Amino acid sequence: MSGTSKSPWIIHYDGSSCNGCDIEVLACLTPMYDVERFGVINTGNPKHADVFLITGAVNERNIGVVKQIYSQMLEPKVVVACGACACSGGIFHDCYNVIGGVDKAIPVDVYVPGCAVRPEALIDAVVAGLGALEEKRAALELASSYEAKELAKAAEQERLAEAASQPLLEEPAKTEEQTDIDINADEEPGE
Amino acid sequence: MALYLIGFLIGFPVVAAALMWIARNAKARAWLAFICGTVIAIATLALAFLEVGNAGTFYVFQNEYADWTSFGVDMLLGLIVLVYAIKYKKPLALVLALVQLAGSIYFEFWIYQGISVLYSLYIDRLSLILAVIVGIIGPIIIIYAVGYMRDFDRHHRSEPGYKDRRHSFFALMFILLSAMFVVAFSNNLSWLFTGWEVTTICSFLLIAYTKTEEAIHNAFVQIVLNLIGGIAFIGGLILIGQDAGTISLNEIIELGTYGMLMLPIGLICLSGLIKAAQMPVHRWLLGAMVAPTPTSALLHSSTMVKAGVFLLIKLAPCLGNNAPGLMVIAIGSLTFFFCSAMAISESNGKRVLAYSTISNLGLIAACAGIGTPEAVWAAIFLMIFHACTKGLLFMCVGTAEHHIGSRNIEAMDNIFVKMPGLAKCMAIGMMCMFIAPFGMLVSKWATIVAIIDAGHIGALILIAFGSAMTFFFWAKWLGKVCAVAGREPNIERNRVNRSEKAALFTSVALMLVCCVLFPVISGGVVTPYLVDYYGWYSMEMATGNLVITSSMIVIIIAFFFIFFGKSNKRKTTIYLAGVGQSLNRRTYRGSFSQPVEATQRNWYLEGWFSAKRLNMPAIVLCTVLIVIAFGVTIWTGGVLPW
Amino acid sequence: MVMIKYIAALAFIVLGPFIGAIVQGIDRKITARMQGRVGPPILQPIYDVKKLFAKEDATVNGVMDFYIILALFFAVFAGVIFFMGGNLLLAIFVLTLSTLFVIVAAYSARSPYSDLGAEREALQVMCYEPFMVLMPVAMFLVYGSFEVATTVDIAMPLIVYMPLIFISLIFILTIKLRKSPFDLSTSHHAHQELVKGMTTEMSGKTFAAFEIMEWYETVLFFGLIGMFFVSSAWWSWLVAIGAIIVCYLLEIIIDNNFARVKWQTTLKWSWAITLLLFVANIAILSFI
Repeated sequence: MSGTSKSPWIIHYDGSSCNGCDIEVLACLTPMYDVERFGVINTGNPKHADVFLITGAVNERNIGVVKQIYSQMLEPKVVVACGACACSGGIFHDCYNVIGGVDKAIPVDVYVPGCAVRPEALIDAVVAGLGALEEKRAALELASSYEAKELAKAAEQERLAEAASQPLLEEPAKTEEQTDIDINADEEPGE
Repeated sequence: MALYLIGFLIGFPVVAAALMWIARNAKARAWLAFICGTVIAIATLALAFLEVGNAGTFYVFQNEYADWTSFGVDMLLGLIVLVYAIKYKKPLALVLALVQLAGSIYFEFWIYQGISVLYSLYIDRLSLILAVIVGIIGPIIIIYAVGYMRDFDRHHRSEPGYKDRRHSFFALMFILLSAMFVVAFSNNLSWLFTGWEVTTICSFLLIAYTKTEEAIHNAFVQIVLNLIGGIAFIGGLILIGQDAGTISLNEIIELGTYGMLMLPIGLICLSGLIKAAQMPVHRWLLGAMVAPTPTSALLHSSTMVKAGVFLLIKLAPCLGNNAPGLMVIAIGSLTFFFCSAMAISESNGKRVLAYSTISNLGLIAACAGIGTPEAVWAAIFLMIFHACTKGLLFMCVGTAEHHIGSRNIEAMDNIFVKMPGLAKCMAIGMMCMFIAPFGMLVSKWATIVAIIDAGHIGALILIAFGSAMTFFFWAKWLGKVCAVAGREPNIERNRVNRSEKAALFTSVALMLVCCVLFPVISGGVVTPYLVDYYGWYSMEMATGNLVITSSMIVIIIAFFFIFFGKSNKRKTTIYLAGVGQSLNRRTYRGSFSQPVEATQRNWYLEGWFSAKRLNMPAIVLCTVLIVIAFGVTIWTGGVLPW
Repeated sequence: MVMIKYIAALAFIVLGPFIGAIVQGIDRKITARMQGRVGPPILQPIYDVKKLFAKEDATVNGVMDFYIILALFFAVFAGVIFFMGGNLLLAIFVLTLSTLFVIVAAYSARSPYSDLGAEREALQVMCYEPFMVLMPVAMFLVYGSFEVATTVDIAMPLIVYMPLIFISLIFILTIKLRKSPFDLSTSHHAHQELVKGMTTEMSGKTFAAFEIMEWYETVLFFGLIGMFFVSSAWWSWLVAIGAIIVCYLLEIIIDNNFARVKWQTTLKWSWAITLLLFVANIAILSFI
């Protein structure tokens, strides 16, 4: 038993919500609900977080952000879509730039309905997410303990392929860098 | 045998300089520099092995020709300054040079004739330490210069009015080494003075090397200030000759310990402070930055400024609770404090190094001023570690400058990716300058202990605050150098000259060996020296602690080889609020979808620590203190009532 | 006697992190209660670190975890020197080395947030380093020794001679413990302008190592407080423990009642307090 389910750290991202759900997310931290009882900390940093809470729908502008934050989180990680918009696009679903729910961008583990989402429902969702988190952790442990390295390799390949298809954080063009740095282009190398 | 080696060490660099001057072919000069440097290093090591077990020897060596040579060199140096002063119309330098010439002539014909110095040369463990610093680090820098000057020549060849004067550059560097050996081994102060002045003039010519307006200006700043020091020195010699009838260093030190000759000793200390670029006159060493980097490396690490602190350490038994001693302590600790502060606001790497040199020399001077064996122990180690580290750091900055096109610290961003080998050398050098368990900090620790024992609480407070600032300015530079991100091309492979690489790696190895062997050097060389010199030495720095620090260095090195860069974890990207774009240039997608660079400068806190703010009060304060010290010395004879 | 030293060192290595963790847990609990919340379990910091160890191995570069390992190692080393009754100045220098490695680790990521945190941490070191050097000096002036073990052999505790310096120690510890108002470089409370400051790019085991290092540091600082109270009398140890508890409660109150200050204020106040109280204390010492 690891501490995973006892210490779910959260990063909260507001996609394009009306702010209703966000207020409720923050309400969870207040003395009234005090989610820190369960070890929940709002880290605001994907490098530390285990649970990705997203409010609001995904649109053309923020889909990259959602994907990047998700990719920067470490396994095991779960995604919780908070509120109607995050689940399906909600009342914004047919706006010209709205793509839809969070699952259009990244895999979602827990859907929390509501407009706005209730803090109780959120706490329930995080607890439900903990189950998923624990499963993923067990899977990760299995993978690192004995399972064939081929699997890990395959996953790595897949990830690389995915990364290659992503436009974000690409390597800048080599030629440009060369001209950037090379101040002594005309001289011969070494002695 | 040892006497012949001393003669060889003084004479051979002059021969090497002549060869450098003659050889106008770069390739031939490179080989000659390499061979001569190696010969000097081997001779130095041979001397060290022969003499390290001996308490010290004075050599009966009276030679009229040597005396006249020394006088002739003095005259020649004066004339060189005169010619330059007339050529560039610098009246102040002209007047000072004339005064010094007059002083030298007066001393030679009216004082020196009546004095016979029986023991002109000597060797003890301190002069051996200086000789090893000069004879090992000097050649490393010269070998480095071979590669550096090739790039330098290539960079500047297209400039109008550029003339290839590299032969004179190398010749001057070798003469500087010879002069330093003279300083290290002369018991005859008249000879020591000649070596002293040769280092001044060589530095002058090296600073003026590029002959640009700035270089000439800074060279004259250097020569004017150092001529004042030279005049103080010759004034001190004349006074000593008149009062004591001797100019043997050992006899003067003995008289000094009885509280005699305080005024001339004060004058010679002043000369040493000026040579070591202490506070009111620290400007000259900053100005020396215009010269090609090997010059700075040589001036800052093994020659020139080290002559100043060497003499102060030599005179340490005469100092302590008397007016010259308190002057040296006050100036040294104030310089340490103020120059550490000013280094914070500098973004030019070489200037940071210069401020750091001045402040560390201040620390050495303060230790010498205290004059107790513990303080001298600390001063000697500060001198050793400063020499091996500062040379390395200057060489690193010089190489970086040639390959990234700037000596600015901000431009060294991501240098760990572009030039990994160089960045590692630089990082380890910096760590050696300011952090335990490396040599400088352990010596600083000994300094603190020595100062408490001597009861100078004021100096102690200055040093405590000064070392805090030292931490800040080094840590931020170190951090800049250690940043690793992106996949920029390696611009080091096949580009850095072989000679530069060899010099850098040798320096790092030398420095680490010195740090690890700290207890051995202490027990084998420095402590015996102090016991011989003072007759007693109680070790405040328990050897146990030295062993702890040495083993910590070994641990760090071992960790480095076992773990460094071996991580096979998955690589992620840095957090840029989810909108990051490029790692190399650290850009993110801005509000109009355009790439925006996330720039991050180091903190220079100009509003607090800039030279503009601190220079004037510091200079005024130090000048006033020096004036007071000399006033008291003349008034009371220098020995204070308490 | 030699045996006791080794036992103390071993106790620090083994028990140190647990004490540090529980103290942090109590801290979080008390803080929650002060805010009208229930707060997490006392063992929450241990759960957190256990979780961090179970996370995937990932890092922004190949060197950060190396620096953090060194930082942790030297934090423990400093504590071992201290609790073995060794040289106080050496322990403090080693602790600074550990902090330097954290700073370098943060810089190595080349992330704007961790750069900013590292810069501020370096500045904080500049703020408290004069005191950390002058405190052992004052101790030397009183006892004639830098050895921490001396405090146990002498009947009069250090606090009698150095009350003013003890006050500045409390001030400096607020900076060292990275507590508000001086949590400039990183903080346990998130979503501020510097995200998580120095620790932004540390994740998984690397971050766990950083947390453990903080636990060790906390215990070492308790040792510093305790050092002022222990003497040759056995009951002085109880007084020391009481003093540690009171001081830490004070730190929690300060933490919860002050907003973060700017670096200028930190620098000004820490230097002024260090200098004035040190000089005053030494002046008093030299008169009596």
